[in-house]
Amino acid sequence: MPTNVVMPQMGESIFEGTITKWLKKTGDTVQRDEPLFEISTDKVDAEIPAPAAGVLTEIKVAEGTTVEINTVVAVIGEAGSAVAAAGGVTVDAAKEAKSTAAASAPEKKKESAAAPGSASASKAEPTPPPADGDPDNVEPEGVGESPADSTGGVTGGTNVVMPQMGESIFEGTITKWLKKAGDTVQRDEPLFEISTDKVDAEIPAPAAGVLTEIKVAEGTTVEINTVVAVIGGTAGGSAAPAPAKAAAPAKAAPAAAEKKATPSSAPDSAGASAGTGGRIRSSPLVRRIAKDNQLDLSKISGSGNGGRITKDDALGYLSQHGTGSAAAPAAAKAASPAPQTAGAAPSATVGAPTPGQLVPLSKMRAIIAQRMVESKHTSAHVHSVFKVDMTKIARIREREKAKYEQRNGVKLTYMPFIATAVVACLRKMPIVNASMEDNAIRYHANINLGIAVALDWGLIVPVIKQAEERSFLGIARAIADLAARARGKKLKPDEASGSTFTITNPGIFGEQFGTPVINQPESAILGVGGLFKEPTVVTDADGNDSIAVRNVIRLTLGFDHRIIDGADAGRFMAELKKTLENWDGDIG
Amino acid sequence: MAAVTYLEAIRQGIWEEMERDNRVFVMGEDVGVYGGAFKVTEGFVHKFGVERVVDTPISEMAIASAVYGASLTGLRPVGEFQFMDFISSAHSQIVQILAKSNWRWGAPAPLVLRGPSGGGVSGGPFHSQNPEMFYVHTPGLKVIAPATARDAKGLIKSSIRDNNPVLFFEHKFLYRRVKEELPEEDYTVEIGKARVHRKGHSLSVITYAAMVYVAQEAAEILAKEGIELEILDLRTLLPLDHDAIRATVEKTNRVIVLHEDTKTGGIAGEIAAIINEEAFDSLDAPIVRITAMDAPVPFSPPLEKAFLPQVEDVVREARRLVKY
Repeated sequence: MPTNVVMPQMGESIFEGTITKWLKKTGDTVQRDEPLFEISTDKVDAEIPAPAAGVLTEIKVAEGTTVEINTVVAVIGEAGSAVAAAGGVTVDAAKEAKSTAAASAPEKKKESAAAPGSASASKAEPTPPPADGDPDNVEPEGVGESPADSTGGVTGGTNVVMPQMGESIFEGTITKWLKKAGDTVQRDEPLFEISTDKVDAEIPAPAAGVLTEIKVAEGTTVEINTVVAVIGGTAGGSAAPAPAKAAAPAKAAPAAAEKKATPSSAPDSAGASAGTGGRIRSSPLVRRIAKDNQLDLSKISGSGNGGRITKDDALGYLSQHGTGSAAAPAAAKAASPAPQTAGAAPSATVGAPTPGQLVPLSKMRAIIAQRMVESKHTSAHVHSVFKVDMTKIARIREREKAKYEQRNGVKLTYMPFIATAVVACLRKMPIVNASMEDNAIRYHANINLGIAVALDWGLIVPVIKQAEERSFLGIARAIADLAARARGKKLKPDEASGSTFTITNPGIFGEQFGTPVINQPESAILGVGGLFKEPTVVTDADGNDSIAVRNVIRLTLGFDHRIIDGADAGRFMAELKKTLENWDGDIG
Repeated sequence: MAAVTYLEAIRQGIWEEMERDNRVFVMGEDVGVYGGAFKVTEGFVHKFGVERVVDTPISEMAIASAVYGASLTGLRPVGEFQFMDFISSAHSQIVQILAKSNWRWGAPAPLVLRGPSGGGVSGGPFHSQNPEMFYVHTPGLKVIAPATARDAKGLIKSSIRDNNPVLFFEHKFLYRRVKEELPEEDYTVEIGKARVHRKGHSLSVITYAAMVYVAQEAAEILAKEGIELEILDLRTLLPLDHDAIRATVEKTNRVIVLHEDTKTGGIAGEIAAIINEEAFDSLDAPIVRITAMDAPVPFSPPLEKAFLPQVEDVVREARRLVKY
């Protein structure tokens, strides 16, 4: 229903006003309470806010025109309304404004009821629209314009709504029902009593018939225009009252926990379950997960309060059923598979498949399969394994890790050491950070380091962009952050693509060394094996050999022999080994 | 190096800054020979002399005005309010003059106003308040509220070195109850950066000052039930670390904001609005506030206990929130 915007009465003795400026033009979308036009009166000049949100469909009174109070000066239609032909300068008396002022029910939480479009209740002669502001002259109609909908199970019949008792009143409390469900009522017979900020009143029945259903119990406060009862129609549902809200669900209203007071009622309302009234209870996070993965919330069962779908419900559903669409977004795209990162469990099933079962591939698995084979068909894979003595780094770690974590909020693992060293070596040997493009070699401008992360449902390679510009601490933080967000499915699409070199870490399972698959279109990949204490020959300054126990790791460089030769690979790895074995960088 | 108390850490911080920079001096009631009501400046006047350790009359307005004037001449004063409750006497000077000096006249006011704040010690309504929000609401100031000894020292140093007027709210409950080993070397803690006090994944408690320890105790109880609280210690209230707030919400998706300040107008409302604006899609449950009641601070111990947030409040709300 469109909302009329009227010239307000700015004071008791003011009966007209001049529109000095329209702040919006026809066709503009306006928010409720957004300044709409400026007026000038005898006593005061003021900025008048829009009484409702929507589209300014028509301006009826031009700038410079003086009109009587309560004259309709503009109309706000619902979002998407067609704009009226350029409003003429017609000065209409208020008579035609019959509809309840805020027919477009306020969407915000009821406590945010702000000052209305007009400054005060009008008391003057020009016939005010009924139920539109004059408390002395109110005809509390309580009539809903539309036939009762099927909410609650009553079809047909007349809705009885909470009336608006004054312009600045947006809610009312039902203090007493004068009739009970099943009673026959006459039109205009007192039906219920309400209490509002400004006035208490007895509300008459808008129609004759049987009071089929009472929807709102005594003592409950609801927004104006909320359907509180139904007269007539065919009763289907129970007459159990529930706090029905006509308006859109409140947004994430902070559920203020009064110290020791009861928690906010909304979450605990037993009646609201996922299916009733078509509203599925979830949360902003759940809706985002659903949107990112094309999930249908109506298919997910909720284990939260009142059947709410929780984050775990959504993620659980996702891991069982995968994403919703064929052209799956970032997750699939970034499932560039190359790394044989362990833990890439088949995601299509939860729990072990039964013997003999045929389980269809999930989207992610299908893409990984395709990419792996493609990579093998594209690159001339060669693998070169180097043993690296990590003792010096291990000692640094032991010594610093507690303080490091306290100081920087991130764990000091081996990965940032390896990643930083890799970046330094890639700068010295750019061929390892290059790609084959047609018959040419692209030497990438930046080093975008992909770090393979095993997920419960597959694997993904988030990317640290421009790693060459980051410090050790920056890389450590980026690794931790990307891994955490990858597991929480919170990577942005551009964070899982664009890598120029990838590091994978299958060694966490105790592997000696691996032979990883290159992550196309890169030309090399570093596989990090397990860290073991091994007896090693060490030579002291005098040239004497002895056997010592050292922390040893095997690093594999998988490289594309089309553009990287053995010598290049060897030089790169030798440099990497030297850097790691003689670590002296700043760790931040 | 042995562990030192939160109070001693502050004392060391101010002392070291006074040694490091001749322009730094302290001013306040009883800070000289008496060594300060809480003994923060014990020994200072003997080391630095009466010109750098100045006793004042009982007038916070005079203290605020004097430190401001001194800061204009190139000095770097550290003014003390014997109890931060009395900052209200200096409100006009702080808000009108100190906060606006650089904005209005291009005249930086590098000064610190520090003092003990907060309750839990039966100090009654005039010696237990948390007045920080009046000043968080004032652009031009910085507002600090450390919870650990390490942060107290690092932040008082940063505050002294900062060229803006900094209000430093020390928590009197923590003065002698919190101890920590401090680094030997000269270190500072960055203003405007929060600190993850405890890592967790079930839900986040965003808090500061004495309530960090209430959250910690609650965390230990909840850990036994498999609920792991992440505790974010804000450390600086103005400017707030939006990144840290966002990061913790994105990580756990459930938030309790806990503060000893009273509810209405406390920083929890501000943080809830920030989370709504910047991390709405990360919320899996409504934001919960646990705060003191909207009332003057009671003197009577059982009443004060009822007034202040308790460990069981955090435990109860956390349990409720993880089931939401």
